[in-house]
Amino acid sequence: MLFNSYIFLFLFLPITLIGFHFIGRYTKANIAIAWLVGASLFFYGWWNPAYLILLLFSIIFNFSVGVFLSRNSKGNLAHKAILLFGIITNLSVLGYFKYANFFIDNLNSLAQTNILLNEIILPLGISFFTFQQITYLVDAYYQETKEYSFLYYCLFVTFFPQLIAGPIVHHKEMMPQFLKDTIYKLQTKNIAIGLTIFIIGLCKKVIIADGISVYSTPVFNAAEAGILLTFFEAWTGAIAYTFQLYFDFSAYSDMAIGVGLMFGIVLPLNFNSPYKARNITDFWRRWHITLSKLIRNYLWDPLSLTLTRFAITRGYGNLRIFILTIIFPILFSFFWIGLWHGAGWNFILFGFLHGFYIVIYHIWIKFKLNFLDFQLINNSKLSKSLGWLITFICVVFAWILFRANNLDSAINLYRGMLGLNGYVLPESYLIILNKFLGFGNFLEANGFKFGVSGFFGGITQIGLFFIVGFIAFIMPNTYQFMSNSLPKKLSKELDEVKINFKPLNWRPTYLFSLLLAAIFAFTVLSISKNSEFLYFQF
Amino acid sequence: METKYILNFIKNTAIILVLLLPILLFLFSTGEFQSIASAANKQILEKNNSIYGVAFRNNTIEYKLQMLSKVNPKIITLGSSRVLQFSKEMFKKDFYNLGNSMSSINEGFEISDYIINQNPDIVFFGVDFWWFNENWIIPRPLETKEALLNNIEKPYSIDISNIMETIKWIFSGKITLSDIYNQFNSGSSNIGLQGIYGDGFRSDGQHFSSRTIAGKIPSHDIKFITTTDEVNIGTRYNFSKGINAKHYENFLMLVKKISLSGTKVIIFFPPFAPEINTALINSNKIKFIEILKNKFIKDNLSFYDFTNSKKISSSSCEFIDGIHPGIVTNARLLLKISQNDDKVHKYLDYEYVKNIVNNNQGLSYLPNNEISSLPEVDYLDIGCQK
Repeated sequence: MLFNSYIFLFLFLPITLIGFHFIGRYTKANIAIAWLVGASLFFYGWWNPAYLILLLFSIIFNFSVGVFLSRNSKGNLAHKAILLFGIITNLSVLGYFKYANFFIDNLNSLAQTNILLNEIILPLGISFFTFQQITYLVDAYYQETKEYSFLYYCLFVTFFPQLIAGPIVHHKEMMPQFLKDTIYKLQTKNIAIGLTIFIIGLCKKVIIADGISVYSTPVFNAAEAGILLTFFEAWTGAIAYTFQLYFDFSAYSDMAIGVGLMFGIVLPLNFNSPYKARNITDFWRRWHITLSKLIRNYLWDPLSLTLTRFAITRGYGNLRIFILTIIFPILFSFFWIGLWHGAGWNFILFGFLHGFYIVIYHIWIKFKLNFLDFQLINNSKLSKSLGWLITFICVVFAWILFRANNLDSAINLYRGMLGLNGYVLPESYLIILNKFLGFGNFLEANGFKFGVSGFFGGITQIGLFFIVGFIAFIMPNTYQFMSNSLPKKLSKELDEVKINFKPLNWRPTYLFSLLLAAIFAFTVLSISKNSEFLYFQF
Repeated sequence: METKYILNFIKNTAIILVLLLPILLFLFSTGEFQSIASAANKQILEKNNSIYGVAFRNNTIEYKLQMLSKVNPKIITLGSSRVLQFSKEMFKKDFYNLGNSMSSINEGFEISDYIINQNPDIVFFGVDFWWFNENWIIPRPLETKEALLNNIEKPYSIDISNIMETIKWIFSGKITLSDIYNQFNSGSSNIGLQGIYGDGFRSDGQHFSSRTIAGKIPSHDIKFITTTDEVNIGTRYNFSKGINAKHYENFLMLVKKISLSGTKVIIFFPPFAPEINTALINSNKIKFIEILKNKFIKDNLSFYDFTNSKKISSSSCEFIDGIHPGIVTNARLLLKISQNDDKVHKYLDYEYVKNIVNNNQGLSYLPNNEISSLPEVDYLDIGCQK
């Protein structure tokens, strides 16, 4: 079931919410939890009931392993073996559903074999609930989890706002919330804030993300069909997709947090204006925050620490230490981030490309420390702006690999973006540009063509990009608008919580309710053919 | 305070939705969001004069291919919007006008399989000489063929821009309250927001611009100024690099492909308005049509050249704009072809076509009360007696 569907908005959500608070108020908390688990399983099963079995198996298996790990003291061999067994089982299931076809295809082409595997349908959200439970097992191994009932564990995994596309939540940040009495009582403040955040997210998805997709999808389809894309067409597709993904994922994160709040549950922040990032590490601190944290805490940190110890004991020099403790863990971590997003070489390259960006950034930092008197670095405004621009362009380039269905279409787009397929502007621009000292003729003499510019919609499209760019680059994000009212747990995660212009700060006033109603009404009327969230495919 | 906020939100949402409801109902009642498959079925059932014209999207190719498969014609006109003014009454056998579904040779290839599947007896292929221009960037379909046809059964979805645009049109008077009332009161056999005004495609693929010819909407080519400017400075008329050999080769392949199953392909250069023909001569751009003609002759490709509309006794008044001949001009053109081609003569409703020419001189459309009760006026402002 999709958040942006009528059935969710007008049936599932109200019934589940009213039912939860009603049961919570008049009966026991356990029954309310059972209601929410039941509703979450229904939400998941709506897509494909058969995969409910997989989800339930995963829950039962991980709960059993987790309980065993938390009951036995860590460190002994059996304990370690059980943890390893748990992780391998989880990864094997994920590997089968997500990567088997990719593996077989590559094996066939490398070994010239002809192994056939039926098309495996990727269960929704498998990467999310698998990783969530692996972290639970690791936490249980280190005795960082308390033991709760199976029912509570079920809710930790299946809680429908975060089940399909995150945020990836931790056992220790969710379980204590389920125990609070307050969540079972209807709290209008939470409902008002949650509803507002949810509707902002819905609007971002339906109006902005789906609206921009009409500019990106045809370009990527054309690239896949082998049509040569000109410079402006390729950039149109790339920029459109960059914003589409931003608003799509940001929308889902808002909606998940909003719905969570309506149930009194605070989900972690997963998206914090990533296109405002001034360097690539800053970008990953703002984009898919919970995945970045997970990879950092459970992969990068342990690996880097181990390698640092190794390098120090061996007495390696600076360069070798840098390679072993910085470059290698970064590339290794980003290889997994790439692979996590999808089974394909384009995803692996996407990961490596971002890893490469971060390595370059680390080298730059080292360079900067040695050349502090360099004028450009001293000019903080200029260097920050340049940093932002370079980061954004790097991100746009990487999204091509992320979106393209195969490497050939990505290369086709890159060729267009680099101007290798020529430059074509709309025919009418020749006359307009010629009014400026014959600039049109100058361009024509220098390789530009004027004609039917295909996927490039000209000034209207650029205007649209400016508007969505303004929202993404300049405007405060949802949580900054709501900063005065957010639960502390959420607001402390933001780095620039307050916005200076007071009238923009959300308050439960009549004017804001009218604005929200208008946004909601127009958004609901604009809901199209149930377009899925892009992150569902992971 | 929060409780009040939530209640106000619910109340305001309800008010806004109730206010927007009439606009939504109006839009839906026009059939603007109907799926192409369902619109095509409706048009086939309505038989003659139902017009399909949507305002919020360009779906001509998908729509025309769907209609083509429904009509299963023996005679087809193929080409750009310049061949849109041929109608089924002109022929004795089933006819479909595929005009406006091919604005370049590669688009012709995209739809050629659909034409071949119908196994037509005759295809009238109107050729635009700029298709061969090395300088001109070839338009391409926005989606691949498969993507275009995948959504034929799905109704279109409304979005916020559609609602806002409709509100804008109501305030600017393009849609009047009486239009909305009439739509609710009596409905229309036409489909789509343009269709209800008689602007769009009839079930045989002929296009109608009822409001323009009645002077309700200004023509974009008053006194042929726009087209004359285009001839002088427009890219597609600028042949500085000559004719593209690859495009020409593809064109020959396309003709051969359609002809292979026994279909007779009649190639012709559609007429230009006399003023535009003169502009082509004055700017010496006419020579590229001559080059093409020589190439056709060299390759034994028979064709008809109607570039100069005076040769078939047409006049500026029989044109919709500088490059789009009206139905009377096309009737003249068909009579000319039928004099030289027995098969065309056999398929043509000769008397009907002759009557068009004899009784409607100086008109670009035939009067048709079922489509529009408004008479044709001198909408190009060139002093035509209509």
